[in-house]
Parts: sequence; C-alpha cells; structure tokens
Amino acid sequence: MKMRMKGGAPVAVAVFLVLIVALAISVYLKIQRVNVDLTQVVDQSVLRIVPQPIPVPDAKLTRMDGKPFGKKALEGKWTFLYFGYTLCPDVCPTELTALAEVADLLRREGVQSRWQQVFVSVDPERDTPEQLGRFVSYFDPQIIAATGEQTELRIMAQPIGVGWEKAALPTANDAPSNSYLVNHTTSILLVSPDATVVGVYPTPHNPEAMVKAYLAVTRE
Amino acid sequence: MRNILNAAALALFLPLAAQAEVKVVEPWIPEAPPNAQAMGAFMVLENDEDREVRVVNAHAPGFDTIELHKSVEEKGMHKMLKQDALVIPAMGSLELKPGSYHVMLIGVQEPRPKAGDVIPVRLDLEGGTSITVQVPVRKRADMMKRMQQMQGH
Repeated sequence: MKMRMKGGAPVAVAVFLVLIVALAISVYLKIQRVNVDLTQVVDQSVLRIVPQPIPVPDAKLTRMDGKPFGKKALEGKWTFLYFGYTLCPDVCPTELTALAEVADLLRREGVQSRWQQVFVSVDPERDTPEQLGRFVSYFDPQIIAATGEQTELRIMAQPIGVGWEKAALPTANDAPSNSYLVNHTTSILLVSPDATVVGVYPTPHNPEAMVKAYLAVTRE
Repeated sequence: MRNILNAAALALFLPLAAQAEVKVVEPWIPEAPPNAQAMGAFMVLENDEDREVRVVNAHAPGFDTIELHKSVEEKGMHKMLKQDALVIPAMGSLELKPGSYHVMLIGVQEPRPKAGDVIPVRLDLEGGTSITVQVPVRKRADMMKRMQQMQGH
C-alpha cells in the first residue's frame, strides 16, 4: 500500500504538470490566433478586412414586426448586414438569394446560434413593415428586415460606408411618381458581436466563399 | 428510330436556324419576390455572322414597358443604364446576366409570373427582323447555383 502511494504520487504530479503545460500551450496558441492578421487568413477578394474596424452608430429604426432596431440589435451575434429596398429589380434579389444560401450553408455546417442576417431598407417611403416582411421571408424565414426615417438611416449607414440615391426609372415619363429606382451600395457588411464592421463582402457574392471567409474570421 | 430522332432534333433547331442571325442560349427570367416592380430577362446571344447584330427593341406580354438595360457598379454603388441597343459583335456573343446587360421588364402585371411559366420575349433586330425567345421563369437560387457551378466555383 505504501509502495503504491510512493509510486503513485510522482505519477500524479507528472500528470498534473503535463496538464498545466498543455493548458499553458493552448492558452498561448489561442492568444496567438487572436492576434493573427485576418488579411492573411481571409481571401481579400471575397471579404475585404477593414483596416480600422468601424463601430456601427446607433439609430432609431424599426423591425418588420414593429420592434425597435438599433445598435443593440447587432450586439452578441455576428451579423451579415445589407442595405437595399424591396422594389429593387435585380441587385437586391440577387444579394438576398446569396444571403439565403449563406444561411443554408451555415445551418448545414451546424453553425446555428452566433449569427444573424439583417436587411435594412433605404426606401422607407414605400417599404412598409408588411412589405418588408413579405420580401425577406420570400428568401429566408430568418432574415430580419428593418427601416426607419431617412435621417436615422443615414446616421447608421454613412459612417460605415453605405450610400444611396433615388433615380428615375429610365422611361418613367408617364409612370406614377412613386415608381423610381434607388442606386445603392451593393456590398454586404460583416459586423462583429460588438456591433463593429470588421469586413466587407464586395460583389459578386459567392455563398460558399463567403461562408469560408466567415468561418476563418469567426473561427466557429 | 434514328431518323425519327434526327428529325426531332432538326425540328427543335429549325426555328432558330431559320431565323439565322442570332442564336439564343439558356434564356431565363428569375422569379421575382412579392410586389416586385420589374423583372429581368437573361440569355446568351450568339452571332455567327461576320457583322455585328444589334437588338434595338424588345416586347413581352404581361409588362407595362420593356427596355434594354445595363447594370453597372461605380464606386460600389449600383446603377442601371438604359441602352439604345444590345450589340452582339461579329462572330461573337453577348451575355445578358445579373449585374450586366439585361432585358428589363418593367411594370409586372397580374397574374404575376411564377417559376415554371414561360414568357415569349420578342427581340427586334436592327434591319427589321425579329426573333421570339420562349424564356422560362426560374427560381433565382437554382439558376445562381448552376451559374456558379459553370464558373467552376
């Protein structure tokens, strides 16, 4: 019995030391990974890493279900953030189709809880909450849509590099005055869980490449 | 049997061959989300002639106005520009695709086109001839996946 104790104690100590060393190494590696230069691990043509991450300013917007939407809604999750309008003939449907595919791929990868997708309409004059809801759910049941007054929209969008302007439909001579196009930024922004823009997905959007870049940044 | 197949194949290609000038490859119209004010028609136009062919006008039932457009991106901002003509270069082709040239179908009338419908789109060529293309409406996601596969992604 005593012999066993004598033989067992050093083994226990050795095992303990090994565990401590392993823990130290893993913590060290984790710190190293945090400090890794993202531009080195992400294809910059797919996701341009912003040199100076830009905090998303708070603004008073409203979700399609009537709940308030602001900076707080971007906290705690990674967000794919896109600005457009529901009557957008081609670009927005293309980008939302890509986002829906990204969502499908992430769900298939089992990456469920830590991300969301947000569509902000820059055309509040025509995009009612009902219209917003119908539009985004056509693409994916989980996309969140929001909009607000033009001044509030600009407060949120301008500092993060998103712009838009109304344009006449090319032959809208006799068209009703509410038919117009909105020229707008086509990039999808990647916002970190502290509501900061860390990357920009420029067009064209390839869903598989987008997911790969997302996983490289978030290490999920 | 083989003759019948050949005849069938011939019959399939005859309408295009008879219209000579322009061959249309993989036409499609993406199904639009609810309340869309416009839709786009996409296709590849191939020209075997040794002179350029210009599409100067287009028509399709079920829309208020039809125009020839090009989507462009300037400084990350998307815009659409009206085109007087879509020019298919001699012995070349012109690709109508999202984010580029397209036939813009403005003012979608009821009943709204759904995936599975086929819309006859008539393209008027400079010089007075025209071709009618039977363009299927497809789910955008299906077609985008297919295009990515074709690009080898």
